[in-house]
Amino acid sequence: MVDDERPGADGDCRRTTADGGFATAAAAEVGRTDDAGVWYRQLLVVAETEYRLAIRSRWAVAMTAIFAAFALGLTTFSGSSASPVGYERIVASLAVLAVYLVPLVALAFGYDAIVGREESGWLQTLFALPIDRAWLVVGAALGRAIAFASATILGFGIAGGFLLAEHGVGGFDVYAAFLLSTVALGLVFLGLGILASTLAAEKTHALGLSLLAWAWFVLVHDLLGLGIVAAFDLPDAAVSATILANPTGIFRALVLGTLGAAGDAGFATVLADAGLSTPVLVGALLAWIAVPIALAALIIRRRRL
Amino acid sequence: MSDRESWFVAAAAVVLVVSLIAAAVAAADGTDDRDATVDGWTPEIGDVHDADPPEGVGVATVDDREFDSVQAAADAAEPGETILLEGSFEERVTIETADVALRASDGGAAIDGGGEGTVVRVAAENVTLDGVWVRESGHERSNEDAGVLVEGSGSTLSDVRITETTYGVWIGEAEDVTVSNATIVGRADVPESERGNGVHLDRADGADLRDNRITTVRDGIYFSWSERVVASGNAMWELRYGVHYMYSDDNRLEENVAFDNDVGFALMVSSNLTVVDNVAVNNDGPSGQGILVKEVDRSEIRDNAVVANRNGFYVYNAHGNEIVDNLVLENAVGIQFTAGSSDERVVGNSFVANGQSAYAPTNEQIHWNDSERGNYWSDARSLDLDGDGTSEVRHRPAGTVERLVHDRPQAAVFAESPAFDAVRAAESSFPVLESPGVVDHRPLAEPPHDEWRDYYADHDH
Repeated sequence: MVDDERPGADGDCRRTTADGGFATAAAAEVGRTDDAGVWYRQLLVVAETEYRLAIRSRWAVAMTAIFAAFALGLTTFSGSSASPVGYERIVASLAVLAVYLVPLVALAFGYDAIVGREESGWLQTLFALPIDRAWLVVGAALGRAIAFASATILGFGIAGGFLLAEHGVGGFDVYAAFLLSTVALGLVFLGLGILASTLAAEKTHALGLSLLAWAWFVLVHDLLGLGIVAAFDLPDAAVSATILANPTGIFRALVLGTLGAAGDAGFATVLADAGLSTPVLVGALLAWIAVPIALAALIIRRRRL
Repeated sequence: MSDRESWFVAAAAVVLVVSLIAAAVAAADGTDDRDATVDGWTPEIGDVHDADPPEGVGVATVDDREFDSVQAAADAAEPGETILLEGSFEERVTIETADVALRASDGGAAIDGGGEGTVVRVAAENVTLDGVWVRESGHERSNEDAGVLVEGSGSTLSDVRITETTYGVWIGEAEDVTVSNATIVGRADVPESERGNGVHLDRADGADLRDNRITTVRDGIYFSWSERVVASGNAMWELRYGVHYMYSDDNRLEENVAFDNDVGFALMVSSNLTVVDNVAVNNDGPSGQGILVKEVDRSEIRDNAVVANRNGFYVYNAHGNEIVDNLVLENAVGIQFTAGSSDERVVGNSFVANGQSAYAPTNEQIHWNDSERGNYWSDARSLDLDGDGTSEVRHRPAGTVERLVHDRPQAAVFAESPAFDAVRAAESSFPVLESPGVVDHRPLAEPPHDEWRDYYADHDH
């Protein structure tokens, strides 16, 4: 498995250069031409490598299958229910359960991005190249992000196709918004996984950190918040801060706060009182994606192999 | 990237583009093809304003004698005779002859009170008023200005139309009066607090109120100290209360519809009522209750549908009632239970798609079902392993988190979060956590009601 993941070991990867493996090709290009040293080319090469590895290692297909099975199970094969079924209600149930699953899968996919590569010896090779280490992290994050986003879109998109066939196009914008929010939610946790991977000295440590992050953001944070709201009269700013401090909270606010009939009226009211409009929520979610990856890019410079 | 890995991202891009196009189409479409809602549901009641006053000067005929006033004809008629009315009369009438019938001819008849006092006063027994349009009573609520004041027992009002009145029909100290197929429309330009009631029962035992349509008055049907009254098939809308019971025991309310009022059916300070097969929809005024059960004892409330009200049921200091087999759909709060209500039997109800199924500010645990089966809760996690139709996991429709959200609305930001679910699951699963609130020990696995679909049907009225 480890050997398989090395791009250089797979001769099938045809590039224009003579030596067959494009990672080495990238290194060769870096040495050869002027524009190959430009940061974005380095970034793209690293990202492309990560993406190809994710596809070849079947991670992408496995994630697609998980998401598709999850979404289809909830939408198509769930039994009869005593209320009308429509996009808003389907999205409401999907969003509630996606909060558990999507972060878990994203963390599992991200936690070995750096530390795993180190244990397989690949990171040492990369570090030997004249590429800024920060771009290695950002590139790895980008490549995995593309693979993860594709898997999410495909997995939930398959369910979306079934829903389109069943319920028609009217109201599908709600589902599309859910799809994009889910991708963003997953990318946040992918970034957190990569940050954990950069911090940890061993793969098991990264796994532990990731699971802690999952437990904190999915369960503990909101339980604490619930307790604090129960105990104290909080100003609206503090309530907004509690939501913005948790990407799953932002995700729920984005998806559930905009639902009409199927949504929770009290929920939407509190969001409005707290001044959390959709642009603010989207911006916060994007910041949650960017900041962990940026942190990882800074921390990697101190990493010793 | 034309090699064997790029298909994946390409496929995802295609799906994304298709999704976005579909979303754009859906958004641009802008049709109300979204999720079905119950907003705008109305029953078939026709247009109550669609009527023209009869033309021509009024002529009242008793046998072969013709009169130009209803009063003169009524005074001249013998008991048992029929007075045929045609055209418009402008007068106020007191009928003191028993057993007479006043009927409108095919051309129609109207009696216009000119905006003073009560238009028709029935002071004798067994008088029938049929098909007549009664208009323009006085404006004084305190004077009890009414379209028709019935003081004679056994009298009948049928197919009458009563408009621009303060009170529509006032039945005072008369027994066994029947009002059927009446249309009562108050004054739209008078504020609600100055309007009278549609049908006002004051010590009117044994009255029979059937298939009336009442709107734009204060309370549709108001009961005070009246017993053995049957009200069935009435439609009441755009009122303060659709039906309002005060100090009136042993009455029956059946198959009535109340919609777009402040409160649909307000049962207050009465006992031994039977309230069955009624429908209360969209009652969302300042009080906003489908069925208000306030200080009502030993009553049966069965097979009603309360839909899209603020509170489906509001049970306040009520004791020993049966709230059974009702459909509680799409209300902001399904059932609110407060002020020390006790000994209620709440079983066989379907609580479907309410914002909050139940709310009970109490420091005790309320156990509703002393029977083998509880209620259906669409938001419950039911688990029916032995297939007997009831879940093995108890349900806490009004537990810790519901109270918290009610007391501190800010907590709603955590609604639907795993933290919320965890507290709920703990309350349901572990009887160790005995927090106050409502407990359903045997929630139903399947909803006992099918007719909820009707309320989502196309609203093209």
